[in-house]
Amino acid sequence: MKSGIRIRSLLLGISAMMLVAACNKDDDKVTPDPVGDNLPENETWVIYNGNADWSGGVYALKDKKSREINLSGIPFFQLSSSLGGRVSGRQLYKVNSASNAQGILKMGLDAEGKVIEDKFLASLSNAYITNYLVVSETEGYYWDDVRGGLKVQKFNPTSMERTGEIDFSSLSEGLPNESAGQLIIAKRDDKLYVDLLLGTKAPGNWQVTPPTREVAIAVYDLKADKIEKVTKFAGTTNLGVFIDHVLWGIDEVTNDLYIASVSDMKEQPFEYSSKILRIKSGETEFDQTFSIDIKDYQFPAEFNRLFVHNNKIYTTIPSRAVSYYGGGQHGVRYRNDIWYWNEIDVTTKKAKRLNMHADNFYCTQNPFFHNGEIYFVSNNATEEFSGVYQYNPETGETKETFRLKESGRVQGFDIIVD
Amino acid sequence: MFKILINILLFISFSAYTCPVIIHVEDPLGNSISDIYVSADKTISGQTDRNGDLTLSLSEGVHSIVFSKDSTWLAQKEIRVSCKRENRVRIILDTIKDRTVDLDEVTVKSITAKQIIDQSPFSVQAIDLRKDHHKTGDVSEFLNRASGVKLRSDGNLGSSVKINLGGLQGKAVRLFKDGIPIELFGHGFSLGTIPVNMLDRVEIYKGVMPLYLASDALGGGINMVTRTSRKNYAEVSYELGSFNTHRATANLLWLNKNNRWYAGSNASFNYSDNNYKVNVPFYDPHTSKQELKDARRFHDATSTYYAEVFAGIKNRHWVDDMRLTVINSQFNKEIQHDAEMNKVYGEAFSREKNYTGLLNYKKAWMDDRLQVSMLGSYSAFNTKFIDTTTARYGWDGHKIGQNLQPGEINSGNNQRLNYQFVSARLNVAYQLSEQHVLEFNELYYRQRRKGSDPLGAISVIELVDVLTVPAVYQKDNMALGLRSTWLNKSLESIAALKYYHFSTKGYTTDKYGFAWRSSASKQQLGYLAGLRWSNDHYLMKLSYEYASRLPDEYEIFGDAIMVKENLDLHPERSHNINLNGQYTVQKDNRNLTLSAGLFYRKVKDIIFLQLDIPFSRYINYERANVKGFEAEASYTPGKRFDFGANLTYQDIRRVDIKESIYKSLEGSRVPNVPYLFGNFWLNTHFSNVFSAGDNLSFNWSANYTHRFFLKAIPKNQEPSLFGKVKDFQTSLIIPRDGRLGQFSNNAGIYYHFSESRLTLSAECRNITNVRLYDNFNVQKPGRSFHVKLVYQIF
Repeated sequence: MKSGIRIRSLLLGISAMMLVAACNKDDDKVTPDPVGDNLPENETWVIYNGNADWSGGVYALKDKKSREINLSGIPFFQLSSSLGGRVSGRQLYKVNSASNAQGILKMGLDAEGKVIEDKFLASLSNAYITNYLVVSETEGYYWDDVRGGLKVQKFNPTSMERTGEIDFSSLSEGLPNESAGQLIIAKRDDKLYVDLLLGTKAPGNWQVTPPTREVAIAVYDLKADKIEKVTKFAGTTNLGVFIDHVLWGIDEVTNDLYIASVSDMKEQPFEYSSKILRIKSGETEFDQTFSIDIKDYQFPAEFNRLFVHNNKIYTTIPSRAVSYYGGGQHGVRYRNDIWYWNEIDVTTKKAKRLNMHADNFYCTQNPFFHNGEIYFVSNNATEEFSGVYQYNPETGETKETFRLKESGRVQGFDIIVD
Repeated sequence: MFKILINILLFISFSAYTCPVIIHVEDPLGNSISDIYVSADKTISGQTDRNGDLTLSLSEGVHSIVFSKDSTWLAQKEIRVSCKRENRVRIILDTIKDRTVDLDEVTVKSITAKQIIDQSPFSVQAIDLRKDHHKTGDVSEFLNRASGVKLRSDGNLGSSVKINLGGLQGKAVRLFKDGIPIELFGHGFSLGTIPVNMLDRVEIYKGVMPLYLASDALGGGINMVTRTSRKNYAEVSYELGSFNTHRATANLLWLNKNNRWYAGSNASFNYSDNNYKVNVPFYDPHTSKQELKDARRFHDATSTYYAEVFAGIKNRHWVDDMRLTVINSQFNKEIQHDAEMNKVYGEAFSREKNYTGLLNYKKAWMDDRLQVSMLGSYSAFNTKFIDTTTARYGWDGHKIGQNLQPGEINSGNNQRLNYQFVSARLNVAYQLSEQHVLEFNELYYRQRRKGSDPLGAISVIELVDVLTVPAVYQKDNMALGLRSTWLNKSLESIAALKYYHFSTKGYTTDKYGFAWRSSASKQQLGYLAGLRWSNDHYLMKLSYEYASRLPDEYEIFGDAIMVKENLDLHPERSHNINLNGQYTVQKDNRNLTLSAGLFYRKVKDIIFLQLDIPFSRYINYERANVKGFEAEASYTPGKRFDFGANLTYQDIRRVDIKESIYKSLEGSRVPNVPYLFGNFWLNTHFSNVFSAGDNLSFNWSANYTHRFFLKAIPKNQEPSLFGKVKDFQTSLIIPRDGRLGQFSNNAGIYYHFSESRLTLSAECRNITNVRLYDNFNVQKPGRSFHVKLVYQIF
């Protein structure tokens, strides 16, 4: 899922998008379009490319779009860590500054359509942990451990200034590592859903281990300005994984909220494996009857991307068992070309592998819905492919949106519409 | 193949070899006599300087030396020169009473002279520091003024110093103290801490390394030669500087009368609060809005202590020189920020205590034709790295958060490590004939690391603190070479083979998620050749080396915290070519020296830190070509004045990128390396200013470093050398305030009292108080003042 503002705009425009999707139903092309063919004139493609050291640039392509893009010679804004961000209107947001100072960076497009640096909201933290959510031009949330692990900070995405905080300290159990909103901050129906993680962080482990093997979401009523409840789900641990692209998504069609747990990525326990969970529309409790378990598809492994649309979950499932910590089960490393994009039906739980090159997880971005199609980023070293696919959920048709030519990995992709 | 090459070397024929002879002239009362004209064999000549010294370049064998003044013959003497040792001749000359001369003694000492270095076929620059002992600061500031050398640091006193030499940097450049790898001495003896009056000279080997260092350096090396003397001396110095900086040294040497025993010590102490002002972000406590303000650094205090005591015996039938050295050093440093100055730390610190013992043995046999030098050393280091606080700090030193998880830097460290080093070196030189010398060198080095860190890495399955498992790393480097002189000694050649081998074993959690005790071993062959041609005015050198750098223990096993192991690492390799020329003309008191050098490096398998989360790892990755030139000119129009400048340009570019997706960076500059820099200097000297026999001198020096980028830019979008950045927006540039480069300048005044053994110095650095950066966003000190007293006790 992209940012909150995207959710809202897509919700408002869902009918129009479905109409476009219906129009595309007759498009049977399965191979990439030729250069210049059917390129949407009103779209600006924002591409974050990455070099071997993760540095790179963010490029905005309006007239220079093509199906095979060589970024060489195109103006860019240089980033020390070029991991793709989120878009809200014509504003771009990403974790950390151009030089990788901790915080949230806002970028924009200048009159010539080039990406330029705008404002920076600094985190007081020294660590790569500034999770955030942009809901609208005036509403945003972020997490800053120095300001309090059990507090969610509010900010104005236009001025990039902190405006206040929401205090979850009453949920403390006095454990060494406690947080609310460190990896999940979602907004639905005037309620904020934040992950509540109370536990202990063992030496050498970057995940917090809870005393009880369960996950919890704290629900905060923004209208009443109070904590509404804490909902829990047993049998898995650790909601979310990275702050660049968080593991939650709202199905624009059903308004169901899906959240992924990654479990203990060091131990990868069979009994508490990675799962995708659900809080149904209108509910504030986990749907205890529902979970998608990684064990049903591959194990040891975990879900590390998540997008949901019309009761279909879009995520990656590795072709082989894999371990993030151990450097790889059976010699398979986490960033090998093993991550296949799949569509999982939430009812039947049947997974369908999509016709795309396997990804190697150098880009952690979730898919997103735009104009009736779902866009996926994939980097595959074996095939020397770094590009974006678009998938029509109505027709099941996959197209190659573009591929980069000798221009690094795709580490982020957004579309801005005029 | 190895054997064949050795045989080829053995059967090559050679000719002659020259080396410097230092002639010191003094009167019967021990006063130095300047302006004595000295000629050797009626060809080579020169005048003694104000210290009564003159250096002549003479071939091995017997030479006739004539001394004269104002065209008047004074004395004549024959001397025997051996190029395997330093040749010093002390002449007592009574120029008033009569024209007799006594040759008092010819002393031979076991160090290599600057002039031998300069005259070798290698691309080498020797900086003589003997006349700069009264100056303030540490040796890094002198190195930074040499052509082709760029030093970068993370701050002020005690901060880590990275050397760029001929386009290569970091671990590609090896450091030595008296030919011994510097890592055996601990942080207390490093470029950023050693005051200049601890050293006689610094030798800078650019690209090609001499055999006796026997090291796996990819891009050359720097050898710091500590002070020595042919007579007893004791000297103390004290320097006081801005930022509560204190430096003190004490050097002592005692020789018995018949030159058969000696003892001495060298010691230094440094302390600085390093609390200079930096321009840093402050945040509104409510809005987090950022505002840049000046603030003093508050957690960067550094103290270092280094003391070595030595004693030796000389001139016995079973030994020419044997020395036992015992060293103790400490290094304590507070850590205030990360490498990019993005994060503030308020309590993290490191401690290091080192103990080292060294035993040197030198002996020549067979009429000095066979010379053997052996060294054995043992070092024990205890280090601490403590980062356990649960508080967080702002740039003003105030706490901005408390009761957070331990550790400001990563996820906390309470690390204690014990290192043990064993090293041995053997140098053997055999003079096959008058012109040919065969050399053999072997260096063995073993390191063992063991420790603990309750907050550090724990293995996945066994739940073992990985630092508790010993990590062992050892290497041996071997070199065999031949030095020869040709064409009546005007041409000198060297050819050598090198063999590198390392093995290591330690702990890894790679594959299957299990903990393994793993090992790795690699070997590599290298070779070098060099030519030197010279006459009275010209000096030309051409050298080539196929150099290797072995991966070290850290690159193979990582730090068990953020960097994971890679047991498949190969040595870095490079073809290094240097071409150097020098023109010198000297007449009366005037001297003009012009020198220039071209260098080329073709490097592959560069060891590269592949960043990732949660673990990074080192891999063999990039290839690069380095093409560069350096030029230097210095002119001395008279006794009281000299000036000069140098300039270095190095074009360092990535080539042969294998992965097609990164082809856009083919030919791009290797980022984060300065590529255009230079220095300027001006010195004046006056004597008898306030009283007879005193000396007053002024110095002005300046440095320019052109802007450079921190991250790769595609070649076709690279701005021209002096052009604006147009095609992209970036803040990842040094300096990032729009300046085309950084220019800083220093000035100093130095006074040596006539009636005492006291020298007083005062210096101002960064006179114009400009903002200086070496590494990204890491600000260096602004204007600072320093005074120094040097007192020669005897």
